[in-house]
Amino acid sequence: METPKIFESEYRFCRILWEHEPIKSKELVKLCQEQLGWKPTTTYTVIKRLSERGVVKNENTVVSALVSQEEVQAAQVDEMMEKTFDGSLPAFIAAFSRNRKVSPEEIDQVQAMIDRFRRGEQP
Amino acid sequence: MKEIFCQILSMSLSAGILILAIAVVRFGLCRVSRNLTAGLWGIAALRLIFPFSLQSRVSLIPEPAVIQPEQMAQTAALQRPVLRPFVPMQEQTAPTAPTVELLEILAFLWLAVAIGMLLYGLYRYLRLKGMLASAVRAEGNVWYSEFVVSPFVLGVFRPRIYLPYSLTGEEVPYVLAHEQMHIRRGDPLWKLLGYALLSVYWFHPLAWLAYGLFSRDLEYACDECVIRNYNREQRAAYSQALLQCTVKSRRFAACPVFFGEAGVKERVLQVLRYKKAKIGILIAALLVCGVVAVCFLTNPVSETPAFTEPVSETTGSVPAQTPEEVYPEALQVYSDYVDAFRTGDKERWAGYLRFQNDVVRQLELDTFYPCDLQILGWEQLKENLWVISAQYELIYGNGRTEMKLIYNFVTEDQQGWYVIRSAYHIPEELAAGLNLSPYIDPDAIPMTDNMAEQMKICAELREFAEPTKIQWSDPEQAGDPGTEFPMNFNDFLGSTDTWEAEYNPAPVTQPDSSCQTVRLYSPEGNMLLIRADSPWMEFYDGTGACTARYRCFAEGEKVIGYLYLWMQNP
Repeated sequence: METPKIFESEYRFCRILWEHEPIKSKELVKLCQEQLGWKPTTTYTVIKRLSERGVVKNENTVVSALVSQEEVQAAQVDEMMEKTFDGSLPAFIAAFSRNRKVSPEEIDQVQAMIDRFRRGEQP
Repeated sequence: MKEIFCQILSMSLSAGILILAIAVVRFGLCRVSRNLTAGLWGIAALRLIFPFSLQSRVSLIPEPAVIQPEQMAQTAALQRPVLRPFVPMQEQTAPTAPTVELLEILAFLWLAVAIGMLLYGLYRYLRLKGMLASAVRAEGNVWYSEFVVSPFVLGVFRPRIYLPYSLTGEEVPYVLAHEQMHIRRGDPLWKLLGYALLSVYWFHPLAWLAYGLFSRDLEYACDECVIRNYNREQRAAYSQALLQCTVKSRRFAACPVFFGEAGVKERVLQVLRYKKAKIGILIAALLVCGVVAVCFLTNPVSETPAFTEPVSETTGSVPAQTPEEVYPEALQVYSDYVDAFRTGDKERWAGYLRFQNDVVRQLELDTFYPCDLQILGWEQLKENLWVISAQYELIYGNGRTEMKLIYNFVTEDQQGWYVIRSAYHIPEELAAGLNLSPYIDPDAIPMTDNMAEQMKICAELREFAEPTKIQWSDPEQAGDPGTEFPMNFNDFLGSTDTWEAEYNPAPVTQPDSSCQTVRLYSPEGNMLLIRADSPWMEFYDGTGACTARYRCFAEGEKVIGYLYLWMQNP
């Protein structure tokens, strides 16, 4: 069986599950609310999504994991995200650094600028 | 919707100039303070939101470019002031003006795109929110999510900071400092407001420029606030964090969506070069911003107000406007007044007028004739004063008088809108500062206080229109009234032509026995003495005291003759 890939957030969820499984979904919801800040609906959605991918199972409101911590690897963000999210943000959001594509040359240039500044040169 | 669209269009014109001005001033100020340049966009936003009515002599906005839905020209060959032609309601729906149809299509397009942009923004927000549901809380309002590539703040009321899981190093505190600063400055709200305005003014290229530059300035300003008290090492680390959050890309594609986006290079440069502006320079820069605000937030003082110099005959082409586009109340009130006038609905007609007193009101009602009024044009003289030119045609029996050009006025008082029938009767406080001479009809008799007085006398004399007793000294001697009395006695008493009254007159000499007299007794028990030897008619009350004298345009002798004639053929 292929190693299932899961998102980082799902991985955080699984860590709670591994610690407490088997666990009533209601209690899992409570734990996720405390530790992850999730709304109940989010937890249920994630349980459903992971059951579909064969990572967890939900029988009679008792949730348990189908894979162990060793079997799972947190997926690379990039490879999974290409499909679901184009990475650009709505225009009206104040972002730290907008996801503008920058050439490697420009990055090197800026890095050199910072380095010079650190050495005490004027930019 | 058409009206709103036109309003938006004309507002976008004046705002366009402001945006260009800000873009220029901003260029000079960007080395002084980025917070100042970001604030400048607030002025543009104000201009885009509010149609300013404040006037100032230093305004640099060109004369209000009023965009009229109909540019139909109409020549009015009237001698005196040409007011804006009046297009009746039923004509405006006529499909004769293709410009109107086009305008409607454009207005629809504008609204569709504007709503589309807002909905698209909402869709993007909800989609993002859905993806961020599984974000994991780190602490407080800081969340981690695998869907985040570069940190950002989301939400206006309870903003949350979202970070990518990959961000764990020493740059985190700097990133958080930046994001918390965004929240403290209320940037999410400003950004949202900017987007909303962009959605409304989507058709305006300068609005896109403004939004782009504004977004850029917001980031710069936020950087500035964070690094204000940083030392050299911290500034280097902050720059490093900025670079760290920039995504490397194999294919270098300049993102065309918002051309104003601040590149990482420019931002880092700003951070590294930052120097606190000297207080003097800061004050000077603030002054510049103040000047921009005053020059571009106000409209110019109208050099030639419409009322002082009415449009001359030669410039007869004035864009026509339908009543809806004008101040609707004034014209609707006048149209209704005209309707009442035409149909002879006296009470409704009188309801739109203000009379000196109830007596005058009653008299006018009693002498009312229906009238055909055709509205020709209108002009706003003051905020609450409208002049309307009309063709006036009196209808009596089967006949009509000659058509006549008149100017009526519509204004408002505590009781509501009303009609002033002649420039003479405009209340002083309303007339102040106006040159009303073009609207004064030289043929019209000005309604003076004296005239009102005369009407009052007529009302008093009407008491004798149906006398209970008439006492003749000698009816057979009644003189010949001639042809000077072309009306019946009743109307004669009610005629205002040249009555003059003298109240509490000096002791009256009794007429001698040879003088012909008529004594009329009213139902109220008063007596009116008409004597042949005097133009004065004397009024005696029940106690026999003479309380008033009235003088008519004719000699008493003729009045008596006239009265006699009336008695023969009532």
